[in-house]
Amino acid sequence: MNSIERVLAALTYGQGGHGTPDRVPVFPVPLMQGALVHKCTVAEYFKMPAQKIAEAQVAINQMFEGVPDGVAGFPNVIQDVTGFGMGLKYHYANSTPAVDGMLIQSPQEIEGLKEGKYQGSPDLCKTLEIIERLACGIGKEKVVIGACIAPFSLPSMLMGTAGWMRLLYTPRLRERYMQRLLDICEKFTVSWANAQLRAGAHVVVLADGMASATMIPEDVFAKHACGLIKRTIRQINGMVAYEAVGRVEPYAHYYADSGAVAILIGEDDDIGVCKQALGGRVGVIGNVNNMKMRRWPPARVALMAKRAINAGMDGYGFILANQGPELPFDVGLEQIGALINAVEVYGRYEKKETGEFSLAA
Amino acid sequence: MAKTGLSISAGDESAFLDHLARELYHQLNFIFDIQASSKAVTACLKPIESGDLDDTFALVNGELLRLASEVSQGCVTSRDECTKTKEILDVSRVSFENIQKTLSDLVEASERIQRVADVIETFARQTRMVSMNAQVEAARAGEHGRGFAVVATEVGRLADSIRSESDQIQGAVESIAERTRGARDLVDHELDNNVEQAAAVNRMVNVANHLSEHGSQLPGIVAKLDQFLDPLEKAREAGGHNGMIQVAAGNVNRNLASLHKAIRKYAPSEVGVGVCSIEGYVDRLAQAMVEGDDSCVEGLTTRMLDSGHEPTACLDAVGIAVHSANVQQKHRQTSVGEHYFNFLLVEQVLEEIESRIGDPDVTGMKMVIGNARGDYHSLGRQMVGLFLRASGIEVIDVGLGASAESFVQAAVESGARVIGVSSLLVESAKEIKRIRTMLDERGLKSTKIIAGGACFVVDREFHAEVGADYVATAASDAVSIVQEVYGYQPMRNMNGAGNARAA
Repeated sequence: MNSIERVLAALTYGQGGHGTPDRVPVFPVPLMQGALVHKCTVAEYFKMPAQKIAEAQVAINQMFEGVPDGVAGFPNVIQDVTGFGMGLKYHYANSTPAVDGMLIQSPQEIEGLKEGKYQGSPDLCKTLEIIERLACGIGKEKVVIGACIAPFSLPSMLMGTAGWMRLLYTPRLRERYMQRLLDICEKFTVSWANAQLRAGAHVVVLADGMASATMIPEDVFAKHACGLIKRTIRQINGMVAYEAVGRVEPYAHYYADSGAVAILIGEDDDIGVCKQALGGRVGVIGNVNNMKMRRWPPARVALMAKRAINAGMDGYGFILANQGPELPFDVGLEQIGALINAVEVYGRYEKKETGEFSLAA
Repeated sequence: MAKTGLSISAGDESAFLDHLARELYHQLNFIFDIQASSKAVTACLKPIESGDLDDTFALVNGELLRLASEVSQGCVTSRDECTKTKEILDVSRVSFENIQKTLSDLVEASERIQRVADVIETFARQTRMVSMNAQVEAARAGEHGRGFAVVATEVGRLADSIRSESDQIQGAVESIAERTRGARDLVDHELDNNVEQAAAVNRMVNVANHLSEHGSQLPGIVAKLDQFLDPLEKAREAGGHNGMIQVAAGNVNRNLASLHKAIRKYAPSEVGVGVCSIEGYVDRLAQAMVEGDDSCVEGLTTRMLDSGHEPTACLDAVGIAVHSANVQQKHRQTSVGEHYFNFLLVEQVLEEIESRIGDPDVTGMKMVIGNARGDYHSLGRQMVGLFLRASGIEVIDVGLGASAESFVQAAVESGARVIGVSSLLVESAKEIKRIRTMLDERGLKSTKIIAGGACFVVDREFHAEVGADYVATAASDAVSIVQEVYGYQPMRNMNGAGNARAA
């Protein structure tokens, strides 16, 4: 059973014609750790040609003996803003870049906002090339993962979180500008996600940091975010994993009919409750705390991974991962190894005489 | 007007409803306290319920078992090694005793040689005397004794020669005897040491035997630790009861809130309150903020200002209400959006107050706030800044992506005793280390740093790693911390009993 088969079997709860998974799949998210492969800084790594970045992601997979079931075809989702002509700036050698100034300074500017185009961004075109390279090679067995910012969160990148919140919570501004802004963001997200799928990505992660229960109350989510999320997923021509950074559990039931294949959850979310709310229709990916992994010893990481596996593996539908967004650069390789290795130690299903795998009695 | 069956005037009814609303609000706070305490208990029980402690216990127990086994094995090895050492020391002692005996024999032999040398020396001396006597007698014999004199002289020389050789033999023998005695003394000393070492090793053998005996019992003792799992199981059951308490408290809370809202609807004014004390406005403002009732907040503010209360006291009332509302929302795990809604309400209230009093008077408390270098997530900083202002705290905002130097310089120039650094990114957050170092270098060790932002919310212990004194996980936390650092009690100021605002 290769990784693609294993992931499909897990995400369809063993009912999708792919058989049952032999073990819990694992998706660590070492986006920045490619710099370790090339012995350079993160900033230098992200600026490398597509070939080098693809090579690094393959090397990381091999570093952990091919156990990780996916490879990331994107350097970082913040680059999506370059589709709107915005710039990125590296303030630290070993960190993700930040936006170099906001595109929208006042809500009135939304009226003149132009549509975003991934084709005009060298960074996004490079990402497509990374995905193509991965898809042609390691992607024959491993899941190639793409990513883009969801339309409800993209405004916070274009005008700042404070600006977006003010617009969202001020009726006068909301009524006048929000729909146009979200329409433009939705169009960009859909076209950019589909481009990644065409390039060979097996799944696209829809990153929606503004739509979690940590960020907005349920009435705002239900009224302004939920419909947009579902409509966006429907327009993306492939598998979508939905990631609302923060607490997801209170709104998990909204995603059951979203069309996503999985949702990414955080440490504070209960895996069992989320799985129950999703009703066997959407898988769960998570949820080891990525920040705490920086200081946890490998044994502690293994313990927390084991805890997540124990909570999620029964009945399939679960993929082990760090909570979003990515692993900080200073998480040790031993810690990442402990997370990955946990699926081999604790995440094996028992093979039945029928050839199916299930939880040991 | 609702019929109560009592004959009371409209004013009395208003006062009664007002009183009832306040009582209900106190009950609500009480329920919040129960919920908060219950949540705290739940948080403590969470590791038990989740099986975390079981896992950790199993890990520790396994580790202890392994260690106990190693200790037990170590004791046996130690005892065997001690026994071997004792045997070696025994063999060594026998060898030392043999050497000691040989050396004693050597000393004795040297002494015998010395005695022989003494005899030879005596013979030589006597021979010399005989030679001298013979020479005297040969001289008396005249010409006939000349040949005898030559013989006597030669005998004398021979005696001298023998004496000289005897002296040398005696010196050499004396030297040998002395060195042999020295060697024998050393061997005697070593032998004493050997005896002491043997005694020590003997004691070690006894201790090792003892350890070995107890070490073999260690795995059994560690295995008994499993008994501690029973109390864990009971604690888990208690967690279930605690959950029921929480649910019940939540239900009571919701019912009280509905009742409170219903009573306010029948109250004589649009905001459900007539002229009342400033503390009364605090309660109502907080409740309106929790409910997100912006028109009520606006109405209350206007009424409070119109009712003759000092604008500065009104500002304090708003600050306390904001804090109270934020604390209640935090207990309910409300979203950033709800806090932001409060932010907009407070912004509106501040505008109203400031339009009447100009720049709000300050309490003397100051805080520098900013986003660390490389961080451009301004939401938290803006909210903190406004809540600080609403609490009469002067804010020195160094803005987005501020350098460590900017924070420190602002603190030096303003005399602020608290710096708030906001960051979403890990690398930006590490700027706090630089700020701490620069403050220390400038002799500002007592200046406190509050860390805030997403990375500190995800991992609360991260703030200590970067050298911050406090972590703020909600915008209102900063207000409490600044008041704590400055020893400020806002209620006292509101009642005019102290903490006078700075001129």
